[in-house]
Formats: sequence, structure tokens, C-alpha cells
Amino acid sequence: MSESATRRAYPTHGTPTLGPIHGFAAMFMRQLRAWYRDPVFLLLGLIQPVVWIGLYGKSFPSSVAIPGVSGGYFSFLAVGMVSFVVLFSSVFGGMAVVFDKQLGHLKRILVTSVSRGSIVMSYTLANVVKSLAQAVVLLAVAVVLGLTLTGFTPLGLAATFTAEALLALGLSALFTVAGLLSKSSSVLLAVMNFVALPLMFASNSLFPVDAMPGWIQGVSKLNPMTYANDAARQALLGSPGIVSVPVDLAILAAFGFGLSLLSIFVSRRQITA
Amino acid sequence: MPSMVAVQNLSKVYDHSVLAVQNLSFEVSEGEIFGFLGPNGAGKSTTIGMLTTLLKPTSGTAQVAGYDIVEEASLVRQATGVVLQDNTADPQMTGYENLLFFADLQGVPRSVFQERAPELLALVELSDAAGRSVRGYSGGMKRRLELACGLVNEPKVLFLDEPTLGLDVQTRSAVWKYIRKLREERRLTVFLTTHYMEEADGLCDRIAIIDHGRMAALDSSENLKERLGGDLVELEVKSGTSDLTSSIRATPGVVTVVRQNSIYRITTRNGERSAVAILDGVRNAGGSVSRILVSKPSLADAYLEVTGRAFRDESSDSNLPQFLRRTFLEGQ
Repeated sequence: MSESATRRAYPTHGTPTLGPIHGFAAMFMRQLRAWYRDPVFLLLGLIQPVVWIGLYGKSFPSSVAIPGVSGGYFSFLAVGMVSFVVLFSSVFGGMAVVFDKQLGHLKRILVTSVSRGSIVMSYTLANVVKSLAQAVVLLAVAVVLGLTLTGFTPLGLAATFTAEALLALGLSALFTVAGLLSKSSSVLLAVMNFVALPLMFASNSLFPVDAMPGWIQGVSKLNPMTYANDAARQALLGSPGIVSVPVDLAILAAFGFGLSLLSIFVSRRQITA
Repeated sequence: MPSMVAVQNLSKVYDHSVLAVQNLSFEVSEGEIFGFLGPNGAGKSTTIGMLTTLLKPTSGTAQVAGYDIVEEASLVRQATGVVLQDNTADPQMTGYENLLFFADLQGVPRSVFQERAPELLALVELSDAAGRSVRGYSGGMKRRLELACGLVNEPKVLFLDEPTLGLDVQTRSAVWKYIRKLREERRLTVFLTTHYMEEADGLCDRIAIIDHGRMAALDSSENLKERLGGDLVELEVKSGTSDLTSSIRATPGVVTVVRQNSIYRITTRNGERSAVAILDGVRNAGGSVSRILVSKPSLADAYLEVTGRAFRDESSDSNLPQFLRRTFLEGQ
């Protein structure tokens, strides 16, 4: 039977035209449900940044002068740590994809007509939400512990979370795809470690770029973490910036949306269960 | 009758070396229950993967419900239901919520879902349990829920990948009942893989046996059994006995003899009578028999005849269904 003959026998009867993002909401809620429904999981995720800032942030005597930092190292570090929890939360989001793959859930989802792009973006955006929730908790705890928001304005806060959201978007998209392409969780863990720590250290999260050796300065200026921190410190602490806040946001938007588009593109041809 | 699954010269090569599926061609008619059998590694999963659009074929084409599996993959997904081996329902959600989740993924409008859900839950006899969390479901209930989830988009073709694996006898026969009912009431086309021969025998209109990535046989269960040409006598001789193939073949009633080490598989026109004659013949030739089985052909026999794995991978006994051992003529 020729293809056209088969087609005539079955016109599109019974197969309604579906919107391009049908099923996205169901997928998105599914990823979030796993997170908020497990109180231990949620709590540990929220405690983690508190432990970070409590232990590391407070282990530096506030009298230690760091070149290029005005207004105390704790405030400098606390803001840098916001992007730091976003980094780890986004990167580890890839594990959810690998688990779904190993348990056969991804395969079951892939045989439905929900679009590949919706699948990738549901994991990615759920991860952005989780990352931002951690960022909010971290910032609140930092304020309790002594962070002084010298340049605080509501607009500045909005700019900060926009910057962190765009950072989370790019990193989550990257590691969602990494999870989809990984054959096993150990492969993905190796990739995570390979990427996450250099991204943290080769940025201005812990130290200002000016205080670094020349070549690391070069690397850190290619690192999206640097621009998230740059925007946040300007907006919250009134620190001098590497570039202006709108430029920071533009760079981060290019990073976030660029990797999202790339992840959708890759998912269309590469996803197999 | 139009075909719901049409496969033409379908091939899949992994990493440019292993030929997983070679030149597969077949058609499944509307309303047919089609059994897809084969040993592990024969290419079943790869074929199902291609037909459900999870894998892209290396060459060849196929249409499912009239849509091309590569060019119209999204339409294929809309028109098919799939029940995989693993249970994928979220244990923390209720059965109803799980059903709704898959309805959303398939783009079933909410109003349509609300009409359809009670029917589906009634079909798989989960109406009362639908409001409970899946965590408390038994294995059989989870399986039935998977079936309902696979049907939520009212598919034209339902792919069932070993749907009754690990289920108790009651649940298995219940699942068979639903499948027959679906075919009768909705003319649903069912594409089924299974390792249970009685499942394929009792359920499927036609059975494809695939081995080494190729179609080894495709026919109704009755015809596959008939092909064996009669009853089977299986004879094991004590080690050190010389080759008895020609002497057995000379026995009246014997059609074919296949020898594999110390085991002879013999087809005869009348198993019970031939067995006695064969035993006499072997004794006269100085041979010594350690074991003999006589059986009427089953689908399992046809399957083994086609795939020939019985004596290669595992010991012969473990591969024989229990009922083959009923005629135990001579002890060891």
C-alpha cells in the first residue's frame, strides 16, 4: 500500500491539532511536585545555602581587608553566594532528568505527543524556580547574619533576581540537555564536577576579579557567574561594576536564552530513551 | 482491510556495526491483535522503539495509523498508546491524577477527559481505587492503571511491551480480557510483545517471530504449529552412544530427526506409537536412552523450531514448558 493510499484511509480524524506547548504545564508541575512534596528534600535544599553562608561567610574576620571590596567582605561574599547556590542548584537539576531516564519515566513521556522542546523546557524552568527559591532564602538569611544592603532599592532587587534567573536559565538548560544525553548518572556527576567548581572559582563569587592573576581575570570575564554577581553587587551593595547593570543583564539574557534555544534544538534531534 | 501498522524494509544499525533489525517488512490490519515474539536481543525492542518513534530507522520506512514514523512522528504519537514494561505512574498521586497527567501530555481536552476517565477506569476495574494514591496499589492494579493511561488518548494502535510480565494468573487473565474487549468494542489494533507463549497463543490473531533482527516466521498460531509436521519426540541418550540419527530416521512414522549432541528432536506422525518403536530401534542399535518426552506441538515448540535457541543458551530442561514433561517414559 502506498503512503498516500494509507493517508487517505486515515484522514486526520480523531487527531486534534495540538498547540506547540501542550503538555508543558503538566510536565512543569510534575518536576516541581517532586520537589515541594518531599519536605526533607525541600528542607535540605534550603538549609544548604544557610550552612554555606554561615560556615564559610562567617569564617572570615570582618576586619580582613580585601582589595577592591568596600563595606566588608561578608556582604561581598553573601551576594556572590547567591549566584553560587543558583549554580549548584541548576547544575544538579540535571540529575532529575537522569533519574527519569533510568526509571523509564522519560521513555513513557517521550512516546506521548508532548513536544520535545516542552519536555526540555519543563525541566529547565522548574529548575529555575527551585534555584530562585534557594537564592531568596540565602539572601534573607544573609541579611539576618549581617549583610548590609547599602544600595537597596526594589528595582535593584528585581534586577538581582532577573540576573540570577537568567543565569539559572542558561545553566539549567545546559544541564538538562547534559542529563538527556548522559548514559548514566555517574557520567553526569563527572561532568557536573568538571564544570561547576571551575565556574565558581573562575568568577568574582568569592573574590573580586581585580584581585586575581591576569589570565584568570580573562577567564572570569567569559564566565556568566561574573556578570550575575556584578549586577547583584551593583544593585544591592552599590559597588562599582565591571560593566553597567543593563549590560550585565543583556549578557546574561544572551546566555540564558541562547542555551535554552540550543537545548530545544538539540532535544529535537538527540533525545532517545 | 487497511493496515494500521505497515513496515517496509525497516532496518536499524547501532554504531555502524551491530545490525539490530534487518529488512523487516510486515503489515498489521485494523482490529488485529498482533504478537511480536523473539528471544532477548532479537530486535523486538528496537522494532518497537522505531514504531513508537523513540528510535529513528537507519533505512526503510513504516507507517503507524497511516502516519510516517519519521516524517509525522508527532501524529504517530498522538494516534498510538504505549504500555511499557516499567510502571511509570507517580506513586504519590492518585490513579485519577496519573490518568489526567497522561491525558495532558497527549493533549486531550479537559472536557473530553472528564467524560472518558470514568469509562477507562471502569474498563480496568479501578473505579473505586481511582481516588487513592498509587503507592497503595498492588502490582496488578498498577499494571491496569498503566493500561488505562495508554488508552487515555483513544489510540488507534496500542503497543503493549510485555504487558503481563511478573503478574499473577488472575491479573494476567484480566488483562487479556480487557485487550479482547477493546478489540471487540473499538476495533483497536494491538501490537504485543511477550515471552509467554500461552499469552500469544490465546490472544493473537497472527504471530511474528523475529530472530537475529530478521523475520523468522509470520503466521497464525495454528499454522505455525501445523508447520512442525506432527508430534514431537525428544530423546536423550547416554553419553558415549554413537550417532543414531539414521537408525531413528528409518523408524516408521518418523518425519525428521535433528540431533544436538546427545539429544534428538524427532517429529513423527503419531508420537505415542513412534516413541515405542524408536526406543526399540535405539536399543537394537546398542544405544542407551536416558530420557524421552512425547508431546503434541505447542506454540512454544513452533517458536523453538523457528528460533532454535533451546539447546544453545541454557540447559534443555529449563527451556521446556512444564507440560512437555508429562510423558516421562523412562527414568534416569
